[in-house]
Amino acid sequence: MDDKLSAIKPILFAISDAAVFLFTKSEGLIVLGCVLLLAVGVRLWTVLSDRRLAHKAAGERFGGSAAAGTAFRELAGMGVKAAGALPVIAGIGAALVLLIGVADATRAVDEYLAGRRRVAELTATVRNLERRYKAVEARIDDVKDGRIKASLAFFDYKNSSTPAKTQSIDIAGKEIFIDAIVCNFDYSEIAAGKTVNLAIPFKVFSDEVPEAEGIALSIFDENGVPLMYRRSPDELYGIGSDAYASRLGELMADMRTDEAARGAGIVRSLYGDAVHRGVKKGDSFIVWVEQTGGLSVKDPTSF
Amino acid sequence: MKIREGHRRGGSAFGALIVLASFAAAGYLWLQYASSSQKQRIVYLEDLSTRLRSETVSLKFMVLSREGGEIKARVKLYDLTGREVAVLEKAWPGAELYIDMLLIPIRSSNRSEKADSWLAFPYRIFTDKLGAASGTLLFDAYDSGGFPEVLRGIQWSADEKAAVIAAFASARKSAAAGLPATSAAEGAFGSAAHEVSRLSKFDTGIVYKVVCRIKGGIEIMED
Repeated sequence: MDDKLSAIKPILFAISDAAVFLFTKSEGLIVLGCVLLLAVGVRLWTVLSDRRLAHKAAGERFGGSAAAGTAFRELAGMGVKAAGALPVIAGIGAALVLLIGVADATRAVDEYLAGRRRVAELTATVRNLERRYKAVEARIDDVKDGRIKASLAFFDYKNSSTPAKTQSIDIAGKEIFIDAIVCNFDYSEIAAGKTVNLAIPFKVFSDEVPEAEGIALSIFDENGVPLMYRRSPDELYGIGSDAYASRLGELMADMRTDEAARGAGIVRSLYGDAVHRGVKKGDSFIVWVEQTGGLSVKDPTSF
Repeated sequence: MKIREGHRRGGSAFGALIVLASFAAAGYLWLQYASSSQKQRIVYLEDLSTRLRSETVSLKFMVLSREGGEIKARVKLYDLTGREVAVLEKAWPGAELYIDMLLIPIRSSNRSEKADSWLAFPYRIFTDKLGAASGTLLFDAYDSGGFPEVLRGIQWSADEKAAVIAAFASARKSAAAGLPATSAAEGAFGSAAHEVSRLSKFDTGIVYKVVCRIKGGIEIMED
């Protein structure tokens, strides 16, 4: 049915466009007028030629007044015929108006349907860009004698309710830094929902303890893959666990080599980002991986 | 009798035509309304999608050399129109350079009930060997009579300008007292973007930009 409609549409639109052009545009009206004048001229010329021949055959002179009279009669006859055909002309006019209406309505419906598809695409794009994933949840257990004691929970982007791993830390300072490797993928990948930006926390340091002397986070397995991105076979859909592990390994290898990641054409930026906050006992905050790029830190109850 | 039947038939056909025309007109009006609403929705979504990808760059830097366990870099600060505001050239001990930004939440408009956007202030520079507390503070470099020059270039309302000045003053005060500038405002945090030796280092002679995203994220990208 759709195929048949698609086949009819071009013809419908062509007739509609031609009618609109001929009857509503000044250029079209000029063309139409010229055609009518030409037709009338041809008709008159034929009639006058025939009459001249007839007069010649009869040995009579076909003068100017006779020609004018013939032409006037022919024109009057044409007018009478046109008047007689008025109902038919009106019918054709009505049919053309109806056809133009149907064509316009079809176009409007097509545009509306295309608009619906565009809205769906944009909605998905915006939803994918506005998305964020919980990476780390920090709870400050104590701040005393210039030291911070905190509990950190690391989350998998697939599961924001149960931490993939937890770790307690005790470090000198008043400001805690959670350092992560951040991989922001190309916007086209994110917007299409093909992938998500990743963050791999790897170290904690403070305002007083530089990164080189910070506390390493042990979140990688024996293959160098972050534990939070591991998947059990029953969690995988559409890809075998071996293939998934292999793909993950490739991705991690790409991430280890900046050039390879850029060469793959999928990574927008790859860098380290140490997000931090001054803390006091009882504070808690969440580190989010923003799909617009980078990390953000928010209170558990904030926006 | 036949004439009356003919009239009746003609009348009912005319009535049906009127009903049909009414339905067609109603359908047309509905389609016009739906299309108009749809166009507004598309414009809104396209605008939102563009805003979500937007970026502001208030800091660019270039590593000049890596010698004797030090990183020497030139840092330039820019306002929102891209005008250069300040230049800093310095060497720091260490192997990895950290560019620290202070992010303070703000309401993007009076209609917003909660903070939904961020002000980004270049905060300090430190390294993997130099603790953040010993890093180079950047606030003074772009202070212009209490207003942060890096945020000049757009039309701030009087209230907004006052809020920006207050946040900046609070951050400077905290930093000057040796306290975290993140305590300048509720919900503020710092984001120190840096190179990771294991992945790749900032190449000498290449200009990198620190990009601030609308949702508070910071990225380092080649300019």
